[in-house]
Amino acid sequence: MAGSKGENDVEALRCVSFIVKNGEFVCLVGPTGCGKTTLLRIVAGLEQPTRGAVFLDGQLIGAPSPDRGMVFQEFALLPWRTVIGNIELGLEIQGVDKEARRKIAEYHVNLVGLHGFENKYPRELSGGMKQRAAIARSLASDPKVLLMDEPFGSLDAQTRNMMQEEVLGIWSKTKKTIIFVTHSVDEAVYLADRIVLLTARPASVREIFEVKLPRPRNRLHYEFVDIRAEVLTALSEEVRKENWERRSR
Amino acid sequence: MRAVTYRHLRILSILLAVVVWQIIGWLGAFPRHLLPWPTSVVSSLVNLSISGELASHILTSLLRVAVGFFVAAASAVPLGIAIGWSKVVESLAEPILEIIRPIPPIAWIPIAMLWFGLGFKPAVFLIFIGAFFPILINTVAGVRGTSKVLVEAVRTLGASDRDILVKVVTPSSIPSIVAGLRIGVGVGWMCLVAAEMAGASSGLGYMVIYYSGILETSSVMVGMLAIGAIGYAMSYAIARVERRLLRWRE
Repeated sequence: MAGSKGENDVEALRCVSFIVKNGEFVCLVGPTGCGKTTLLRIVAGLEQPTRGAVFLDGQLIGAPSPDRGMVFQEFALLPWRTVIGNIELGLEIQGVDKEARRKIAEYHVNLVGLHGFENKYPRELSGGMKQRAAIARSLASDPKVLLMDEPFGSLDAQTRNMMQEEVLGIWSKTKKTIIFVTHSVDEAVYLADRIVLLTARPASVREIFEVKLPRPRNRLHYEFVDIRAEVLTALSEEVRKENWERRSR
Repeated sequence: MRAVTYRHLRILSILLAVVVWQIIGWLGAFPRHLLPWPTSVVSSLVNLSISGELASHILTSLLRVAVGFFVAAASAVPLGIAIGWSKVVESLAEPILEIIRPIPPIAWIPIAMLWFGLGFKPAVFLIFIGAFFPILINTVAGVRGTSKVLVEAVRTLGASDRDILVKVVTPSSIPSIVAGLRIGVGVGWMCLVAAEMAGASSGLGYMVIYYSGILETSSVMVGMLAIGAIGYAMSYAIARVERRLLRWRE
């Protein structure tokens, strides 16, 4: 992907350009409000850039499509459908017939560890389970890229760590390309192959960090701590700039 | 000693009211054509039920409500969805509707009788007018209240506008729509009674007027109680349906 974008009345992104490789796990990190969610939404097709373009496999992207599945912080499950009903939704939309739908959906229910909960409604699930259902829903349509917008932001710390393991498990099984937006540097270092650090608004790419650590990663290991410190330092500078900006207005 | 529960108090309060009422009657404080005794009301109830007259009036009124209400629902729900969904439809429909809406249904009675005569048709029309707007407004609110993130999430599954409308907007609006139906039924029922009091020769509203004319006030009260009971029953029935449909709610 490559592009530089602006937005409506607020310039959210100034000059953002980077490439994501097939099967990579990339995290987008940056100060609050820097535009990382906007960037993700542009890739999803939910917003249009005023300048610049995004390419997927050499094709210009346009409207939202199941090729670029998205998982939201608020889960966004349809509350009137069961877990399996939600997972089948994308397949229904694509016109897949009932039996095939059921099979694919059941496979994904198991993939995310929700076996036994197929017929529960979202209100009967915990936050972590809801997000797993949402992930299964996007994956069922076999996307080329999975976009995740602070998916664990609403979860408590323990569930969050558990879901990080879960996502890594799913990623290694499905080999999907994942672009993951997060506030948490710790989370980014734990999950990503590469971390794209954005500047304060209007955002540009400040730096791209390679995280070459083997998985499963150990948060206490000195290499982990080093990378985390590097990213955090750079991020703190950006956050400070954001605050100066705000105060001087 | 067994504790007195709130439920006991509630039952007691009704019994007490009836007893006090009967005592006032015995004391002869009011003429019986103004304040009938509870016993008279009960005996009128029995008579009217046995003769089938009460049942016939009830059925007549219910039939009118049923037709008026279904026509109102069948027109208001689709229109409401269209208005909530499309700015074009909203701009075209809203001005006219906003002019008509504030007119109380009762004010329609004279025109209803001019247009449709007496009896069944004007009554159905009045119920339609009464039920239509609550249903419409609640439907529009339901559509507009659809969660944006939900719509976006389904768009990323490749949904077209039609998919969104059918699979997200409509199910999401059902709680509001049903609430609108419940309110609509109530308003429609009130309109019916007013309509029958004005220009009908059957039905509960008519019954109330007729018996008051011949000063058989105990039968008037039977009619009033029947009106109240049925209004309550309809509301309750829809609330039951609502609860079943909305099992998925928090």
